[in-house]
Formats: sequence, structure tokens, C-alpha cells
Amino acid sequence: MSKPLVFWMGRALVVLPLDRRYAPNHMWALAEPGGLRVGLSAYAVRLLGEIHRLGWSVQPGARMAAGDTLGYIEASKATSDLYSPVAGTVIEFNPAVLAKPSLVNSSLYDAGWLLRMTGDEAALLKPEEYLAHLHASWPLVQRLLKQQMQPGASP
Amino acid sequence: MTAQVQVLISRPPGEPQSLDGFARTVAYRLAAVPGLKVTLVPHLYDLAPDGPAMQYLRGLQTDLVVLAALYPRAAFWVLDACGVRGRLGRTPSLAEEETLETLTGPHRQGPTPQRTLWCFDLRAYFDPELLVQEVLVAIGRGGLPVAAEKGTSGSQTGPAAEAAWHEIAEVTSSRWYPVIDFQQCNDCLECLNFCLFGVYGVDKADRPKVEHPEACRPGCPACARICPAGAIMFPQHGDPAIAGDPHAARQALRLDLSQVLRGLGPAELAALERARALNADPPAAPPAEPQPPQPPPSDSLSGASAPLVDLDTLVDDVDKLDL
Repeated sequence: MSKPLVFWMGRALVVLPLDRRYAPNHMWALAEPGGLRVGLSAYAVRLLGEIHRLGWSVQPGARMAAGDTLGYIEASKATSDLYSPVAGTVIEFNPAVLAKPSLVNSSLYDAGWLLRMTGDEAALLKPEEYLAHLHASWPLVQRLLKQQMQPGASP
Repeated sequence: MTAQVQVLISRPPGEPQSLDGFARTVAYRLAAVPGLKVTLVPHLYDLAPDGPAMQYLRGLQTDLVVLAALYPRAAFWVLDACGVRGRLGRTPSLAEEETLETLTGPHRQGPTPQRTLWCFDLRAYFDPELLVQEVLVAIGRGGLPVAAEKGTSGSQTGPAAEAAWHEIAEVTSSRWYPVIDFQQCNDCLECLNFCLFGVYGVDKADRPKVEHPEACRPGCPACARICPAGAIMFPQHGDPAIAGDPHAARQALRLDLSQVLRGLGPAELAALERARALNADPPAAPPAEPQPPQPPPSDSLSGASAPLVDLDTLVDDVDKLDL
């Protein structure tokens, strides 16, 4: 088994396991017999901080296009909407994470998965492709967030 | 004879000469207490690290009562950054958990000196008598009678007033720089990565330090908002959560990550950044070529077709912030 890929967000280490695919929206997807198991990448979790709350705006059975809104997340550092990583149908949301959102922090690549959905794994990025995506976008993400910090820049 | 305690009264910012009746009364009352020595300095936050006032303070070995127009946590860490160190003493306005933590927690640079700094926010008191009593309780002199007749008049002058306190003259100007609370800091160095202006550096132990405070942009609190630990303060900022108020909600500091978690690529992110910097609505779709002719991308951060990042505009915007 080869070592996972790593990405440095400043001094923070982001680990990318090789056994799964990644979406440009910083979710991972693991192909399993029951469908794609989807969660947040370590990069996303690092930006969010400690997860406090999750909410889903769609029901299991909902058909999603890639990028459709699934729900929202609230964390210590940030809030965000959550978007579907691929086109497919939602099968279920992880009840354990709904009950205890901090599970995303403590077990982000395993027990902290968010949802299961149908979808084509091949439409997603390989770990090395996602790593390249992180390298390309990280400086811009930093500056985008910095702009948000300026008084009057965000609503 | 009880051990001497130094009382430091920091003039409010913008009042380099006069001392208002409130501070004058407090100064008289505390100067009248045996074992207390009152010293008046310009606004603590504006003092130069190597100026006469900080040099004097570094030379003190006694416990210190600090009365300043700053949140206690801000005052404590302003002094700490200048080498005036000790443990933060318990005072009524501190959050309970903060006091306990700071009283007992380890310090970043070797052992903490065995002396206490009690910090009081002058702005939190309307009644000088209440402040005097709280100071005396904090330093363990709560039962002492205070020579009330000596200091009730705010206009008292003459030899008695001259002798009551000692003043350190220093010409200061208004400063703006971050103050790190090392009790909260977890050394992630996001501030170092985040600051556009090179304010931060690292010390020998790889912990962040405010290396170039003069490079900080007046009015810019960005690093305080991005700090995951909430360890960075700008004591003069209008938002209490940024100025060091332990009771202010940290929630207000949350970012909106939707644009990031929507999965935008470098080109879209660059377009968003540019749109924000220019105060325009962000484009809904990945951008076409930018309208005005642009020179070819000169750094690797710009994607193949990405518009150039308008950093100058960003910096100008920061400059324009109203203090």
C-alpha cells in the first residue's frame, strides 16, 4: 500500500488517502457496493474548523446534478453550503454525523462520512489530480478569504 | 512592611497631556495606600518597545496593577510582548476560564516570573471608588481603609499631588499592530501565511511573533479573524471580539466558505477575487477573457486563462479603511 498524498496548508498537514476519488469541491468519494460514500476532505475540514452543525436541504431519493446544493455546515471558523460532488441520487445521510457533527473532525475519512449516493466515480479526480487542484487554488483561496475579512467586503 | 506593588496608570489614547478627573481620583486614592507606588505612562499600546516607559517597566520586579483603556487580556499581552511578564491576576472583569488558564498555564519563553499582573480596563468603570476597591481586593488589601479625604477632589494640585505619583514622559503616536495571546495560540502559523504585509515572523521555537509591527496596515484586522485559535487581538479595533473582550461572541468572526466548497477552480477563484477587489458582483459562470487587455500572467498562481490577481487594489482597499 503506498503512502497517502500530503498537502501543506501553511503549517497544517492535509492527508489524502489513495483509496478514493476527490471532487473539486473538497469532498472525497469511496466507491462501495452500496454506492459512493461521500465525506469532506481534510482540506475542507481544516478550513472549517470544529464542526458544530450540519443540515440537509434534500431528502434521500433526491436526484442531484453535480454542484446542486445538498445542505449547509456550520463550524468554528466558517459556515458554508454543501454541494453535490457528482450527479446522482442521494441514498442516505450519515445519522451518526447528524447526531454528533464533531465526528467529521475526529474521523473525517471513515466514520465521519456525510452521505451515500449513486454516481460515477470516474467523473471525479484521482488523488494526484486533486492534489494539483489544491496546489493551484490554495494561494487564491487564501486571498479570497482575506478579502472577506475586510470590513464591508462581505454581507 | 508589605511588599511594594506598582500601579501603572496608562493615559487614555489621544490624551497625551491631561489626566481626567476619574484617573486623577484613582491615582490619588491608590497612591495613598501604603506600599503602592503609582506611575503614569502614555497609552500602553502606543508605547515604543524600547522607549523609556517600557524600559522602566521591564526593570520592575514587583507585582503590577495595570489600569489602561484596554481589555485586560490585551493589556497583559501588550506588556508580555515587550518583556514585562508575569501571571495574569484574577480580576472581576476577566472570563473565569481565561483567568484560571492564564494563572496556571505554562509560558512560552521559559518559566513565568513569579509575579502577578492585575489588569483593569479603565473604560469599564464609571465610579472611581469601585475601581479602587476592586484593585485593593485583587491585590489582597481589600480590608484596608483608604484615605478618602485625600483624593476625592479631582482638581487637587500642589506638593501633595506632585508626590502622589511619578510620571514617565514619552512622546508617542497612535500605533496599529497585532497582539498575540500566547495562552490561546496553537502555533499553526496561519497568521504568518495569511498576512500580506510581512508583519509576522517566527521565533527560535518556531512560534509566531510580531516581527514587523510597523508593517501592519492600520485598520486591517484580517489575521485576527483568520486565526483559528482567536489568539490575535487588535486592541484599538471597534469589534470587541477583536479588541480582546473575552465575553464577545467569536461567532461573528466566521467565514463564508461556500465559494470554496462549491469547488471553484483557480480561474474562477481568481475572477471572484478580482470582482471582490473591484467591488463588483462576482461572475456567475467561469470567466471569459477579461475586458481590458492584460499582460500575460507573470506568476505561477495565475491559471492558464486566469485574470491577474489585483493585489494592488486589495492593498489600496486596506489603506482606505477608516479608523
